[in-house]
Amino acid sequence: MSYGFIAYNDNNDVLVSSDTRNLHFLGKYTNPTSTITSFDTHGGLRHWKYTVAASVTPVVFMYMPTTDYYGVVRTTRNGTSNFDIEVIRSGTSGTTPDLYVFADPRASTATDQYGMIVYQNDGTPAFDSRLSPLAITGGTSVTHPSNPKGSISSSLDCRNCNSSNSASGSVFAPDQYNTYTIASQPSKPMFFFASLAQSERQVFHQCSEEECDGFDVYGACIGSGRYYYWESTYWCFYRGGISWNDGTLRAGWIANQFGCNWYYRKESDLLGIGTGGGSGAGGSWPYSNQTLNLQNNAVIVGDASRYD
Amino acid sequence: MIKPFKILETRPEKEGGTGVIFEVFKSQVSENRTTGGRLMRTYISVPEGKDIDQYVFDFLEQGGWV
Repeated sequence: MSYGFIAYNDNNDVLVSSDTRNLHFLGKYTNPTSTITSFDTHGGLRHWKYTVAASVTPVVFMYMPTTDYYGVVRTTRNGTSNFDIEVIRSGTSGTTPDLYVFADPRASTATDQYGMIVYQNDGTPAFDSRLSPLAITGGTSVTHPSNPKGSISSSLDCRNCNSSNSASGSVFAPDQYNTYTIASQPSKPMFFFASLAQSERQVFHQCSEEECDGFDVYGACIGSGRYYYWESTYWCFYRGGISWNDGTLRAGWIANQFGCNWYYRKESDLLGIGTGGGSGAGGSWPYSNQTLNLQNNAVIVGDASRYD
Repeated sequence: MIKPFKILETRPEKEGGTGVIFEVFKSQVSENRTTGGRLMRTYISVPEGKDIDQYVFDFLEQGGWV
């Protein structure tokens, strides 16, 4: 190009360019607008919505105050000047992450009189030093393990989804993760992470029982008897998350939804002649044992204290 | 080995292991004139290099299925 501005660092990386829009600090959000859902079993879930003021699509960094797993699962426009950001976290505490929201300089208006502005060729700003440009301190690419849990144990009740949420929660609570090291990060790091990976695990239990009031002859009931049949499919749906603990980054799983589907049938007979029965079904169907989107997932790190 | 379980599906996992969907059946007879059985169908991740049948068997043994 004949006109424009471009600035490089010592590694020949582009810092500022009139051809691309830099991200600038738009605001810090410390409280969610609402809690979408939460549960304390299955490793725990908190699902929050933050409504942020932005006229262009925001890029969100999270300050993660606990060592739980976090992820941004959704960004949607809300009217002409707001976006809704949905964040999930594992664990059971009430501690909420702080969101640091960035957008290109068209979303903000600076009031300072001095600084440097770089314009694109259409006259709109690409960089404005007065608007706290985003400074990146590190980054990596993470992938999530194929399994939220190595195996699903066999201790749940086959009858009518009778096992409690607590019991199924201990069966499905995720415990697998991959570990990454990002050295020399600030004491208050903030992370960009858009959750991609999804997984579902389920366990199907079926049982049957035959009661015989008459005589049992070689396994056959002579007289009156009843036959019972039960099915229960317990399932859990997961989303990928990241956690940070003193220099160590983990890519693990957050239980996002769980449920159970059941079926029941009863038959009665007398001397081989049916005398009645009944059946029932209920609950919500699961997905099937799958893990999706195990792609490289970008994690970008910045220094949150610069924007406090 | 006499297998008290049936492997329904296997799939390669990214880390090199094998994901296995299997089912197992166990019959039960109780003293109060009832007979019946239990069936479970579930997923297990078998690490790379491990024998799949033995790994599933060990898992079921720990759970009291075999």
